[in-house]
Amino acid sequence: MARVTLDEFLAPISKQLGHSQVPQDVKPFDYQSEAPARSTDGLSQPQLIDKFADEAEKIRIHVYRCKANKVAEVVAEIVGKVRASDPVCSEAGLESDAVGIVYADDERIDSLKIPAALEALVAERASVEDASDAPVSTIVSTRWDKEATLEQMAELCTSSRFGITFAQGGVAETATIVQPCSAECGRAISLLPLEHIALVKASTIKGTMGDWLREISAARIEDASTMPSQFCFISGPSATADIELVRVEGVHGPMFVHYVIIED
Amino acid sequence: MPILYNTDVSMHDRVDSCIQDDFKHKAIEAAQEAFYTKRAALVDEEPDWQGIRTAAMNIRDDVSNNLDFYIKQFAENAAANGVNVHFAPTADDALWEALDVFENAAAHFAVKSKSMMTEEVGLNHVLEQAGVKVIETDCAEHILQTAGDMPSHIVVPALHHTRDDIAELYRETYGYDGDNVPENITHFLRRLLRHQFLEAQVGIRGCNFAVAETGSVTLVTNEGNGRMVDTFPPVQIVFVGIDRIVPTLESLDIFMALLPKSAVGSKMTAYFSVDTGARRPDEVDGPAEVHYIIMDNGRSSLLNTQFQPMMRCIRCGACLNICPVYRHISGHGYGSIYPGPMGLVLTPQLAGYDDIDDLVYACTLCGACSEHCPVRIPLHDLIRDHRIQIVEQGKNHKIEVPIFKGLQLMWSNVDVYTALMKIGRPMMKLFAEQGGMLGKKTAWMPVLSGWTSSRDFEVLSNMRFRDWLKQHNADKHASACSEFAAETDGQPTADAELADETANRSTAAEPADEIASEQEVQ
Repeated sequence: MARVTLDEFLAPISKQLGHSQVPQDVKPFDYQSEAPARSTDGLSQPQLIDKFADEAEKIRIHVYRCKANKVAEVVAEIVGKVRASDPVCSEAGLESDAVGIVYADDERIDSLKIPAALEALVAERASVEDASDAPVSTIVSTRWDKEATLEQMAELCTSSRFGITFAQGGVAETATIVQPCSAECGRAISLLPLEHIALVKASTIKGTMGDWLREISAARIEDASTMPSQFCFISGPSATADIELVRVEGVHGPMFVHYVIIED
Repeated sequence: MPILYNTDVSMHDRVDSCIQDDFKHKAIEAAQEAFYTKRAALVDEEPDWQGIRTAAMNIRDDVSNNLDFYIKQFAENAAANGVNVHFAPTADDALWEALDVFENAAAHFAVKSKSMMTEEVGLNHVLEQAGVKVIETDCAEHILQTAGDMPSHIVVPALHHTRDDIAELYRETYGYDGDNVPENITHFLRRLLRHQFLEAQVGIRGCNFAVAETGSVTLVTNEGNGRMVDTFPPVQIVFVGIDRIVPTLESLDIFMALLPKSAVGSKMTAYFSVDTGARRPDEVDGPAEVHYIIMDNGRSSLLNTQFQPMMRCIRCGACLNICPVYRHISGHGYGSIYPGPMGLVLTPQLAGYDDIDDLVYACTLCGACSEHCPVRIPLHDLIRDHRIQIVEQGKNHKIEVPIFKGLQLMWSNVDVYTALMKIGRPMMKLFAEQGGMLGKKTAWMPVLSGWTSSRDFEVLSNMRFRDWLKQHNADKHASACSEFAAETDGQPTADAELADETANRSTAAEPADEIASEQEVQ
């Protein structure tokens, strides 16, 4: 059924290379002997965390640093700041009188007591009178549901103001987070909502993207099932400069990104 | 051949009309300045930028030298991940494979994230003819698709459109009712495209780097449209050029340390995603069915030739952002979807020498591109190599042969040379305009018009340089003798040197004036 097989495809390429056949094996590239110096070389863990936070602020990411027992409070504070009159809601096509939150079905998020804090916020806000500069009256928080359909989850996320995920780790050099997807943490959570709140453990912040790639690669070699269908390195809000090179944030993905660094 | 466009107009005329377009110039100038300045600042911050470049070059060369092995490794690992792998030796093969996927999925609506390779094969046109609606979702590509226009830059393809143009375009086509503020237009696009991502049956995307070790494909984006295409449509088609392969996951780091800085002058793009296979059975989002179309389309002809370094190219556009010719003739002057220095090297290789017009001459060989190329492709050397091959294959302009034969005769024979120089000046004087220059008046003459229709050409001087030098040396000798006579009572020699320098300067005054007047006319 295939029009061209792998062998047929490779034959002219081997010929061009002067190979009589496709090599059985090649000498792997030696990364260590040529590894160029990087700006994060030799930094201590506290320095890496500072660098991560500094670089994040340079690319307009909102950074919060706190102990594990304060994370729920910080998240509730970010959510609670939204005003009913916020003009970005209508720009993004969101309802302005309600704040939707979707969070990954992740036990680390549960153990930080974030769902409970959000529920408390929901109850508190139900009693507040709506006014133009008041906090929004309705807050709805929903856990990602792996039993739901794609349509249901897409609808949920696209109508949500916040998506909350737990990042696998951070990269100090570029203020990047490593976000794998899974049944419990769909791709849409960090993509469709207007704002993305990423939780990052300070101890998981490494120097370069390479440090994380080596770790992911080693885990895959140990057990191939650890390789997610997608992992995404995220560094700030979605952005473009396609119209007259003017930078605009919030193109298809989040307009605002928050990193909560958990100092463990 | 979809690589080339607007070929019914000659390159000369294309360039002419681009040179007239002031907005285009300002836009390109602004982009070059912005990207270049930001890039330079980031490069300065890197402790070992040159080392990163070298490492990337070595990794790329290593893959190229064993490309058959790495393609096989990539394809087999992808298949093991459950990906449907298709092989396309040519653009046509790639199109047939893509059409098959649409037919099998009974699909008629696709969203696409920016991919130069799909431009190269002319995918959109073919799909539309097959009754498939394709929507470009990159902001710039969406503008171009709506306007029915071609990209002018490989990284910011709609650089040549003004905000007013774009606002008007969306008003007419999609009923946009906002102003011309880029932020508002972009957010309109966010609302316009969002439900289309959710409704599309097929997602079409390119691949920045394909990882042989894991069979993974990667995508570098800022807007998030690539992630949307990766998340919602149930079927995904990934176009992978055979020159996109890197050996390992680890190696991605070196390339990502180079690409965003070189392309747009940022440390990192908002998103860099690594996809391995379809979504797992228990996952809610992501494509359920993934197809890779691995395409050669002329790339393998670079291997094992002096052009092999072009296989290193990571499509960052740094060579465009530094190129003085690109700055003036703009992306559309080239008439290739791959413009600028990288396009000058790649286009002839993919499209052949016969149809490319004067493309490889759109270069001053200044070498700025080679110096800025993050993967150290000797671009200007390769451009010159194309010129050499064109001559060797007898595909240069026919008139060049007698002209160079004539010049050869003149320069290899003193008598002919002297005679021609003697009659040269009075002949040129005949056609000279005021100021002693050949100008527009001679623009009717073949060959000469190539210069004089837009610039002045200086008439031969009265005196041959050889005669002038003889005279100059004689004068110098005479004055040195008289100075020596004056200095015999113990003047410091430094003064003599100073006097000598002054003498030099005054004799140099004449040629310097000539240069100045030439600069004025330019």
